[in-house]
Amino acid sequence: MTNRQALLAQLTKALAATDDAKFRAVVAVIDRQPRHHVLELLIAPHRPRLARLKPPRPLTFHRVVTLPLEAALVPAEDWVPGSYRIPRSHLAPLHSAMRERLDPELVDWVDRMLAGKTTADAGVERAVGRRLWPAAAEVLDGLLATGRKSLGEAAVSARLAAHLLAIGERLVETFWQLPPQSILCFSGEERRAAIELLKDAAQRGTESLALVADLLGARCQSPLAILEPLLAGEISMSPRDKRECADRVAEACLEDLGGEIAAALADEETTPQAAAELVLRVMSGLESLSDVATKLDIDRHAVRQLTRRTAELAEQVTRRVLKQIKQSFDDDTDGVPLYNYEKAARAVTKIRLVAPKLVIASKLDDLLRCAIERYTSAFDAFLARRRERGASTALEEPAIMERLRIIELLFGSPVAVSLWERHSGRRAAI
Amino acid sequence: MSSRKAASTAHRPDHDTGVVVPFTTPQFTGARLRANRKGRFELMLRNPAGGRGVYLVELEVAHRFSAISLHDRILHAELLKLLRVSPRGVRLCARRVALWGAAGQGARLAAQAAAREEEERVTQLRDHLLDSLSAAAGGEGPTANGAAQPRTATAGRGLDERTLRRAAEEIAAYGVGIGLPPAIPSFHAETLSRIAELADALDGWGGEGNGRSDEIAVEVSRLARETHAAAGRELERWQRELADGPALFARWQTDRAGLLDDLQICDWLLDGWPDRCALWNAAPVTDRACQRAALKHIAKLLPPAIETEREACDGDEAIDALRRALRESTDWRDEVRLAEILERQEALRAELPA
Repeated sequence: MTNRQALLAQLTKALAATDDAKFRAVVAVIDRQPRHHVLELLIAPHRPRLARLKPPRPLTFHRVVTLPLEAALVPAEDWVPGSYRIPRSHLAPLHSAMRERLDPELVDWVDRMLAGKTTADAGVERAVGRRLWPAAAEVLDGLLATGRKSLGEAAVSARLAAHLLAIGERLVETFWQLPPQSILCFSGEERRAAIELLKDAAQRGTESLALVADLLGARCQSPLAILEPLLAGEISMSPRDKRECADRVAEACLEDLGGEIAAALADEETTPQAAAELVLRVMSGLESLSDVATKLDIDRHAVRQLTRRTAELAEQVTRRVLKQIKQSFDDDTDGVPLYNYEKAARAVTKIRLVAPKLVIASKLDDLLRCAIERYTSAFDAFLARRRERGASTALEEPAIMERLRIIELLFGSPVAVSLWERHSGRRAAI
Repeated sequence: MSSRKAASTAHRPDHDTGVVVPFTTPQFTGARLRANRKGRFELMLRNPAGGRGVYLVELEVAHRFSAISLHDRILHAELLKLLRVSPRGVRLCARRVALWGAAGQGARLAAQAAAREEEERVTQLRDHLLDSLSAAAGGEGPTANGAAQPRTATAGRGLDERTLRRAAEEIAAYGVGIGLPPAIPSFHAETLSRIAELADALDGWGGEGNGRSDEIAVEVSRLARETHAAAGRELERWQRELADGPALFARWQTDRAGLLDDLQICDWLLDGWPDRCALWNAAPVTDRACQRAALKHIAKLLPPAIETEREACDGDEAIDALRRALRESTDWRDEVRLAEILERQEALRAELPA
């Protein structure tokens, strides 16, 4: 390792240990430097954190032209050739190709408009993008038709980038409009926006449609949520092409989900939160699939198997969490604070909500019913032991309240509220 | 969007719009507590179906809604102990419940920190009041804790030391939000600067073709500026009043209730704004989707328009409507969404100065 690399590694490590406020400050300092491109190396390994914090960064030609591509970007090491994704390593050649071939007057105008602005200036970003994105798409289309070789390896990404830039404004607007969390299913306004975007994408052909469908799908709990808007009658494309596109999405998604469920079942270390999210994702996907089942060629056996395996995972995780929390619940020494289990308990809540949709709903319900009895008896016993010891049994005591919280998170508010009302002598809910 | 009643409350609090209660149950989002014409406490709830109109539920029966969270059930029991509706009273109830841990560990720690900070400022303000009284009575200069001088200060005022101390404690407890900068920082001034930041951010945010979100942004910004101006004026006035210790003590002797009410004018004017600012600040400045979601939530926290009250439903009808809305959301995805909203509401409690 050279001295420079060692220093870089050291600084990257130090940056990882800083809190969010300091991290934002460091990014701001880097952005103010004239040679900030060199210093960008420092924050490059922290892209997930940057994506979470989204600090305002200076607006540049590169940032604006990359905006419609953002949903498709992946780190170079995660890129799978042939996928609908663009590796970050391809951005530099694409940027220089576009900047070189764009009308110099347009480039000057873009630079002037962006001077002193940051990514918080959404209006400027959009106004510049409105002129820049279609022009950049044209440049890439032209290059792909004539000078493909000059792009080298990045040619494959240029095609995808051209599709996205051509519908840049609609794409950016739609993604800004979608909810920040991953979407369980499209509804109302979101569905209308997704269809409009798919309609625009379809005008450039099946590849563009499949690409945009894939990117929208990635914003959902399950990519299968995109099937219904995709198959909606409003997209101007032959029914056969649409169906082919939807079949591809469904097939790939079922395969991926099956793989993820198998891995989670095999891995005892999977956190309850991750398992619950996966169960939700699968169930959400299967619901979306059942909405359009008659319009697609789907492998019903694969769907049944996936449902069965998901139910298995839901049951396994629920049993594990109930057992694990119960041990701490019975512990009077306050060894591990119960609030440490809140996330796991919330995971069981989510699994409980989706249980009626799983084939083992009654099994899971029985499991939870028995657990409610065990937990409420344990709560009563805990209070009795405290009473014997002469400790306070006021419900406001943290050790008591956190047990009530766990009961609420595991079994729902009505169970915890009735327990609280019984012990506080308040009137029970009608 | 119609003009809201808050706009007309430039100088005096509008008790009809009630006080925002930080419930965590998703169906109770934006609920406001007020005393009705008969003097009974009632909750103003938004139409659970998302339509116009508000539901008026007597506080005594609100716990009958079966999906009420444990935190809200406990908070409900605490609210029933209040004698009068005021932002301070509701805030203290909510803090007490948060301190017990009913909204989770994060909210508990935040409430602990807030209580500690408030206690410190109350002590500072109390000492300042006693010192100023002492100085006015020709005492030997300010004391650190007001222990020795009050005897001098009481001379000619007919108040014993204990009563004087009680008066100072009470005035300080009610006026702590006002503060006396720079010596005693003002909670209200901090809220005002957050409101100004929110209004600035929203002014720059609108006009992006986001339809409903743009409308909300314009409306919230307008209300924020009006509140900022009205509360700013009141805050300045009350900081001047607080600086005049002897006059305050004199008023406390003759018009205690009136004085304590007046000390809460800023609390009324600023009610609900810390939550709205916290919601906006939680969304990264460059994340449009997050900001849109925050704006929709903020809209639910605004006081309902006056005309919607004419379409209000009462009591059992309201509880039935809430139950119906709950039954109608039989889709598990809706229930997961509600669980996530509850989680976010609790997380927000941890972000707020409880």
